[in-house]
Amino acid sequence: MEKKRLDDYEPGPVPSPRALDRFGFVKQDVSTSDGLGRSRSAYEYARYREERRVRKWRKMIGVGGSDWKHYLRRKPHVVKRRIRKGIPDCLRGLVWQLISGSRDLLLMNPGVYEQLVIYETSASELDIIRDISRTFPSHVFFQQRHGPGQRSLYNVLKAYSVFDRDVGYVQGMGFLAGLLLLYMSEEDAFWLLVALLKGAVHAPMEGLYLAGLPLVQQYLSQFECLVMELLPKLGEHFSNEMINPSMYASQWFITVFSYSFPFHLALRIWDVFLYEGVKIVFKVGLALLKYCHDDLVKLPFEKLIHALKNFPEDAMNPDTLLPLAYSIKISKRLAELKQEYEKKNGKIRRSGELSENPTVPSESN
Amino acid sequence: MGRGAEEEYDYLFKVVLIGDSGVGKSNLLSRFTRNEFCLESKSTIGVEFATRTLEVEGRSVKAQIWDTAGQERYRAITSAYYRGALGALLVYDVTKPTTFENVSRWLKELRDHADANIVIMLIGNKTDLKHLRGVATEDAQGYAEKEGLSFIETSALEATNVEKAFQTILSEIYRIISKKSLSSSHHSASATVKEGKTIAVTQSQPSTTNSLCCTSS
Repeated sequence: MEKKRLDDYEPGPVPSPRALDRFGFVKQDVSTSDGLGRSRSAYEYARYREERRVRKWRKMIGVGGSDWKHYLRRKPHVVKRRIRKGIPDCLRGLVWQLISGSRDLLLMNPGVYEQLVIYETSASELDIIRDISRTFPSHVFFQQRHGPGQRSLYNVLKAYSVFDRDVGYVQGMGFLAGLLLLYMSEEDAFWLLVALLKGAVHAPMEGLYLAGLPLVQQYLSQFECLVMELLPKLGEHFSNEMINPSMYASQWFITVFSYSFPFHLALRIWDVFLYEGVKIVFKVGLALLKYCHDDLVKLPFEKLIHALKNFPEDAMNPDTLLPLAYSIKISKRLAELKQEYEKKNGKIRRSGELSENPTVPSESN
Repeated sequence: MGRGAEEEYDYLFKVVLIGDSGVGKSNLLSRFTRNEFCLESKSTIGVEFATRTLEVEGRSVKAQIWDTAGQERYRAITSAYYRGALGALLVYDVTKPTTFENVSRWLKELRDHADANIVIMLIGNKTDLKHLRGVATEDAQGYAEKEGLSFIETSALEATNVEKAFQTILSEIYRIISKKSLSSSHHSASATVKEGKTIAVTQSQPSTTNSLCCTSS
């Protein structure tokens, strides 16, 4: 792994030019992680298809997203199908804001973000600063010490920690914010974080970060049951080897696969995640286990843990992994398992609703 | 996947790495297990795991080390990993006094969740940042003596004392284990671990290591 000396000068020097992949990550020596290892003609064909896809998408969303809601109402199944194939990268930022409901939050709350960033102070400021350079450290945007990437990451996280003081700042949130900032402005990224954690379209996910990490515990418990039911042989092997999902899947849920998975795969997961909700995280997790099933069942404890944290490259190809994930049907069972979990452990306490937050006008209904 | 000769060991000791966020736990672990240091490391989310087998007092000991996220809120997940641990490396950053002040909270955390006779070593990391030192060696030394912990200062970056820190805690664990297994009726811990490989794997899980079962009851 390449190493970089961090100096104490402010702002730091622009990192020396190193080979980057198409998303802006410093290329690792061996990896072909941008998934572009194709021949020239295949590449041109892919480009042609990509252009055709972008045209379709532009028509679907209209200028600046003006036709989106109309289209969504008329043809939700088309939208779902197209999103599952991947949102064109050049439209990703805009579409994410449309499907997550964050665009509406932004429009309803003019000036709020600025207020949070400039005038409020947060008890989490030092915690946030400590982690800034440890968030996507291999991405060119976040590498420069006190550069624009690090500054906007700090601002978004600080604003959120003020906006929701019960959540504050928790490690892992930086990866969500960082991923969003590669596709949108600070203010847009902030509202998308709000939409996710407060539940603008899907169930709120703030429980991932509240004291006790209650939603992480719930998801891990649900995931463990699903493994047992859908991949019984592997589930039994896990329990014999005393492997539980907290050893390998906490990061999957806490950062929605943005922590250590190939970026092009993380993006494809996020496309679906923002539209269909957290069940895609379960499905992708199960698909990974299913894909590697025959290897995993043979491995003893230590090798098993290693394998669960280092899936082979072919397993992480979105064009094989995602169709496999879509084929796993869990919605009904997931809901039942949630109820069972709540019966056992009580419902997750919601932190302050949007309307209870003094800095933000009510829009919780 | 067969287990090669390098997988054989007399003892398996589970050790946890704890301490405030950003004190260098993950780099201590990577320095010890892979002799690597990464200046661009990410913050740890949840728990990580690594092992290394080494000679301790003439025996081969496999250290199974769990590296935990340091932020307080993560204790909801990480404290489960204290159970069954024979040793804890409690790390602070010699340039950040608050990380040293929080050591007492970590000790309480261990008292609440770990086995009562867990061996604890206090580690002051980042001694390479000499011009930024904020915690005097004597203060930490004094505190460690008062609390009955062993103490060492390390630099994961310069690879100073990292080996020694792990060696020391593993030796200490070994001495306690071997003393206990001598005085107890079943003193075949090492032999059992060596015999059946598959059993050894199951034993490697939290709170079920054979040496632990034999000695802590």
